[in-house]
Amino acid sequence: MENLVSIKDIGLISPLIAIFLTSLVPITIKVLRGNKEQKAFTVLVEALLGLGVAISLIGFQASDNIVSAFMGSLLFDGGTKIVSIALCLLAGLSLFISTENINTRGNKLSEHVFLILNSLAGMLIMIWANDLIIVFIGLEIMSLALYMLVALSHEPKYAKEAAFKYFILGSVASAIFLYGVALIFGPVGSTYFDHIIQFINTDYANNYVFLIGCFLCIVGMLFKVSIFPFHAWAPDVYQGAPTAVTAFMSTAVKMASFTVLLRIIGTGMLGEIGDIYGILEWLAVLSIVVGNLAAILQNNIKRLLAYSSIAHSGYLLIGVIVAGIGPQDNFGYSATLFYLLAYVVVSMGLLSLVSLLENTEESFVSVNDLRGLSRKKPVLSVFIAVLLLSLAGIPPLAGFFGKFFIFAAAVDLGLFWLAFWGVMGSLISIYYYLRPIVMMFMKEEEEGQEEVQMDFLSYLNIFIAVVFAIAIGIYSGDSFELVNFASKF
Amino acid sequence: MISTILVIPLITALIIAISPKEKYIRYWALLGSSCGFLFSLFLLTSFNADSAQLQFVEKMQWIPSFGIQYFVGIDGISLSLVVLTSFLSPILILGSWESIKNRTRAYYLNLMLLQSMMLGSFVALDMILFYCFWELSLIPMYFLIGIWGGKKRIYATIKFFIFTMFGSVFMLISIVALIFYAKSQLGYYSASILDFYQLSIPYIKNSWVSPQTLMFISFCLAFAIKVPMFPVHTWLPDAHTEAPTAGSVILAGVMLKMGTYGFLRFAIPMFPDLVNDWSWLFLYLGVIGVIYGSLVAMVQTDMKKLVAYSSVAHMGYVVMGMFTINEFGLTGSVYQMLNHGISTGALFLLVGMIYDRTHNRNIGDYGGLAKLMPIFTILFFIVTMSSIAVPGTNGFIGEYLILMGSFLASPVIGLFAITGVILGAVYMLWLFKRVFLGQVSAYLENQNKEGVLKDLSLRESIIMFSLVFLIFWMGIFPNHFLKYSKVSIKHLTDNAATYYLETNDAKKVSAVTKGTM
Repeated sequence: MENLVSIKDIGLISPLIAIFLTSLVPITIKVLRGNKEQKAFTVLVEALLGLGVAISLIGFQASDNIVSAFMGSLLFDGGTKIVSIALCLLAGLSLFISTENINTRGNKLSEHVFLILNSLAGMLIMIWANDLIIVFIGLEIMSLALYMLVALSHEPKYAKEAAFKYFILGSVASAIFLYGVALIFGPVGSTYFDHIIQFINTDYANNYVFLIGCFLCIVGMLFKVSIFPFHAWAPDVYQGAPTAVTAFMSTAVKMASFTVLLRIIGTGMLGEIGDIYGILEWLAVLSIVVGNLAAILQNNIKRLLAYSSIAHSGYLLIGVIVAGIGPQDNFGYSATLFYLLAYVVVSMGLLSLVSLLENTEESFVSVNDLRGLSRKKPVLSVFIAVLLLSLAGIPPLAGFFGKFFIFAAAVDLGLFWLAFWGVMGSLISIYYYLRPIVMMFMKEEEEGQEEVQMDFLSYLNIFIAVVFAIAIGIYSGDSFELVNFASKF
Repeated sequence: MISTILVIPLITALIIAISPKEKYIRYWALLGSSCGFLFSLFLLTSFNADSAQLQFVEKMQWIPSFGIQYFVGIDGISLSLVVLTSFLSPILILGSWESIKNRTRAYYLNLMLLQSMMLGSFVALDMILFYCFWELSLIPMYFLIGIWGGKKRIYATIKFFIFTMFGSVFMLISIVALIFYAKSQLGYYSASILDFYQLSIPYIKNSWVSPQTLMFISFCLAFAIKVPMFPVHTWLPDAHTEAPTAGSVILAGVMLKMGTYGFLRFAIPMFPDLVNDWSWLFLYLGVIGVIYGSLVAMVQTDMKKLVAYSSVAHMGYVVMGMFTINEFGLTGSVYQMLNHGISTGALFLLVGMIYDRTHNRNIGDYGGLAKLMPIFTILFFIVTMSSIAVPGTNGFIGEYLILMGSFLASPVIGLFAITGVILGAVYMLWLFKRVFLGQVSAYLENQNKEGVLKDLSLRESIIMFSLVFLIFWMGIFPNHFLKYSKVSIKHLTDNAATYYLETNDAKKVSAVTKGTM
């Protein structure tokens, strides 16, 4: 009999081990020093070193073929390689905000880092998983760390409320997911993706138990990416969570969850079950419409970004659907990955701005706090304008090409109505993405606004986001080729 | 080679962004835009006017997965617009020399970026590239109106942005669909319009859901909003009234032409079946625009709004001429695009000059200005003459050709369009009478005592005399200007159903017959 675990397998998951060990470093040192917090910068450097090691270990993975480990439970290919590197980078960037944001810096930063890195480890498990149970394990590691991260905020009231909401709703969603896994296990006799695909190809004949199982699994994932009607937690949690955690949630969590959705739906394992796609199409459209319309009414920037992220989930779901229905070599998979890359970077930049504007632990930054920013900080205002325009889908920024590829993939399959609602949504979104720009450039400052601080690392985050938004846009040809090539395997 | 004309304003913008002293910025802007103009003259001289081919072509891969390229070049039609754009640019900068004191760096930066984007949309030969320039040109304009505009500027600028965006997003879907048509019909992904001309897009007569109809609607919506044509024109008066002078001049002079150019370059050649069946609608909408614009202009109390509505009327002529699809109409319409850029631009500059002095545009407060500012009055009169198409001025040639074309296409339309000429004279001459003739009004008397009503300065005279010079030159020697677009227009009318374009380096590709249903 073969060995259950080979050295090769350990090598493949070595980034995971590196991340987990790193996560222990700051917190151990803190305990050894008699519960005294290290300097924020030291903690950050420790975490970044670990992430750097993890990224270089991921770099060793093959990018041009599929490798499986642990008897096929984990799967490594070009797509997961790109996503896992991106996830590590996003965790690093969100730690930039953590060390400077008023609600996370100082006290309990080591715990914060521990949780972020463990959440990241959960995500990596999730995206590598080739087995629904492994997905569930990853999902839970990621989510449990997140619940605590939200609650760990220094802000006393809203953060606790948000943590509870997120915890209760999130647990229900996890339970639904697990229930779905159980129902799939019934008829299939296994939770491996390969076996499920085999089952669909041979024995599937309108097996309702299996169908409900699939549906519940997808619902569980849709909750994580806040698709309508499972979106209600997002605005409250985004608002209540410390900004660094919001940034982590709206970028890394979204990316990991969508990658899993792509795995579940996109590789064609539900190829035969057409009805689910009909429902998903409606959910995508409704997310776009509801997210965009609700965002118009928001004044709090974090809530605004939360609703806009619901809308963006809708666009992404279009890509996932296309990847699911289309033939193997369609653009859906790579378009979704490209959109994710374009979206998360910009989102990270905008939340860094929110962090810059938070002066006290109870600050809730509203759009009005941006009034007259261009007088004081012209360069920063231009950066923010670029990020907002990228989200709004103005060419030639990254956001535009993300949308372009998604809509192109939809039109290719004749799903014109999805593309139609997609562009309608981005039309609505123009209005609320322009409002901060109006405030920054066309209104004068008023009394009682939040002062903008010039924290170096958050500013650096914004700068990185701008560079990426422009570079991915201008070199969209090359970057799309890169993603497209990777997702072929 | 053609990229240079896009890069010059960008380099200027960069210099403006990093130049340390704020007071020298306008000199840099003037220098950069003059270089751009000189380069456009160089293009003009090295352009081969006897060929309908695309010239100065540049091609580079951009997004190979979808066949999207950086593909630019010009033919006779776009050449005239490129020259117009680069000619207006130094004029604008001189025009805002004194009036913009607030955030000059950002202002000239926006002007330069805007120029580059507008030129880009005239030279782009790849649909996605065109779309990028088309959308990107909104942003500097959005800032120009929103930061340096009047009281209701934020409302106006958001309205402008969302209206234009509304039209163009549907065009994007059509472009995507065309890319896939190219894949299925030509065998490769392409977004180049040269390839799009060769597609035969399915068309079902009298049906709304045939692909060609839907695409035509989406393209026309985008362009009609930009022009703006009659039912979707409402953003224009707001944007014009609130914009700073230079913003209005760019809007009227160049941005509106992006719409008509879009019709001419994309909508008409790409969808011949629909143009065949539906050109009457555009003729009617054009003539309604002429008459409606004139009537509404007549009752305006704000000078700038009056000029804005006159713009709607003039653009009505352009659209009308275009959809006659005969040589007269098309030539007239291309000529009228240039005319409108010059005379309406000049009107906005003149209104801006008087506004700089009194900060009041209410026609009722004026009267007898001729006694106080004689040179200004003479110049305004000449521009008025050009705007109402008096023979000897440029406006006459354009409107005459368009009217000839429309009589050929449909005498009824021609008849209605002629009343537009009369109405145009009514509102412009009435404006002239109320503002310049008669007794000096009490308001102006007061202003005069405060010493604000000085006649034109040297700078303002240079701007206006160069425009007036062009008005007469274009009116008396139209062939000096028409010869560049002549062959291209003939090529379009000769091949209306099977339009094709080729670059001057490629061998002749046989045109695919389109839409023979």
